Amino acid sequence: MTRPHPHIRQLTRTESIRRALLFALTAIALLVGLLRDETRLVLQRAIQICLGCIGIG
Amino acid sequence: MANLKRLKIKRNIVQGLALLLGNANLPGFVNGTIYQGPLKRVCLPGLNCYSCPGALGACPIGSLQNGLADPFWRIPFYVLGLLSLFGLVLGRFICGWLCPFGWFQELLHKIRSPKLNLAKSHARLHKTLLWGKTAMLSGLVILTPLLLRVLTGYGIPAFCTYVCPSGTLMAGIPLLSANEGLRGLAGWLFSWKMSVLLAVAVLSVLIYRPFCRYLCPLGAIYGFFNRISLYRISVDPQLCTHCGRCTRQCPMQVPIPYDGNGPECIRCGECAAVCPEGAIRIGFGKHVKEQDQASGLSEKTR
Ligand code: SF4
Ligand code: SF4
Repeated sequence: MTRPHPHIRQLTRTESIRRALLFALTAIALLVGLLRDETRLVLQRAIQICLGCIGIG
Repeated sequence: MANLKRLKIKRNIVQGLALLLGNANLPGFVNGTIYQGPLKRVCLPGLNCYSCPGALGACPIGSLQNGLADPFWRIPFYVLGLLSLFGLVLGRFICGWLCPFGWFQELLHKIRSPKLNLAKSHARLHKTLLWGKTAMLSGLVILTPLLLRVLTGYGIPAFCTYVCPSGTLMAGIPLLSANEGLRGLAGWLFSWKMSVLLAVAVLSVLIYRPFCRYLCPLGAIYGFFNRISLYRISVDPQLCTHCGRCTRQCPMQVPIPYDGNGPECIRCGECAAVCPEGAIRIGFGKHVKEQDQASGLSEKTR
């Protein structure tokens, strides 16, 4: 069997903690966004033709 | 090799389905109009213009800029939350399997021509250019809309307006072709955006995914999450013989097998498909238990 290589990078403990924290922050951001009815704002913009996107400025 | 061929076919099918599912409003292409239904409350994961006649969802980068540019919206929590969720769960798997503009560049790269590999031929230039994604994100997606809002009261989605070639391809060309009224309005900006699209297209024939590597702000966001995303690469150090097949195969020149979860890996799976030992796994969950790997390492150092 090949000997394990010390330079194969694994998920570190700090990264696992960062992942958990970011999941928590994501949940909060989504909740705040939904409570502020931001999906309506996204919709409002997305249903108008964006003149910048199509190159008419 | 059979593995690799199968994988490539599978990925093309998924990329095609993702394009169809995200852009299923087909009558829009004929009428020159866009879908205006409730599905557009949700952002699609890839760089998929919301002004594309077929688009059923919103573009995450466009929505982010609109949120920052709008004096009443200010902080777009919902869009930031969605982007973060996509990144945490999938990372750049979205680039490799779901984004229509990534697929467009890949298809162009199949055209027979001499190929350029900047990572090998001009390593320093390549490394510098990799920062372009972050520059686009911070400069045109975040700072410009934000600063314009502060200074003038209302910002503009600067990346969409001056750069986004996905918008030109998916929205500009089909809308202007089908809608005479809009066609009459096209001026210098449209010519500029067509030149950007053309440049990206020509470069894509020569370089594998040049826009994804060097310019895409969405790639920069998902790249940030790649290191910690749930969908990830694991390499079994007990099985890997360091033969270098994966390193040579990787189209993004990721330092696999040593560090497969950096910001550039698009989870295409080609490294895993060519590994003769089956040492590379890509997916959810810890295929190779990270504890096992750690104990493998400590055994070695014991
Ligand atoms: S880097 Fe951007 S354009 Fe490329 S696949 Fe990812 S999101 Fe799409
Ligand atoms: S490391 Fe593997 S999955 Fe990632 S881009 Fe390279 S070949 Fe594709």
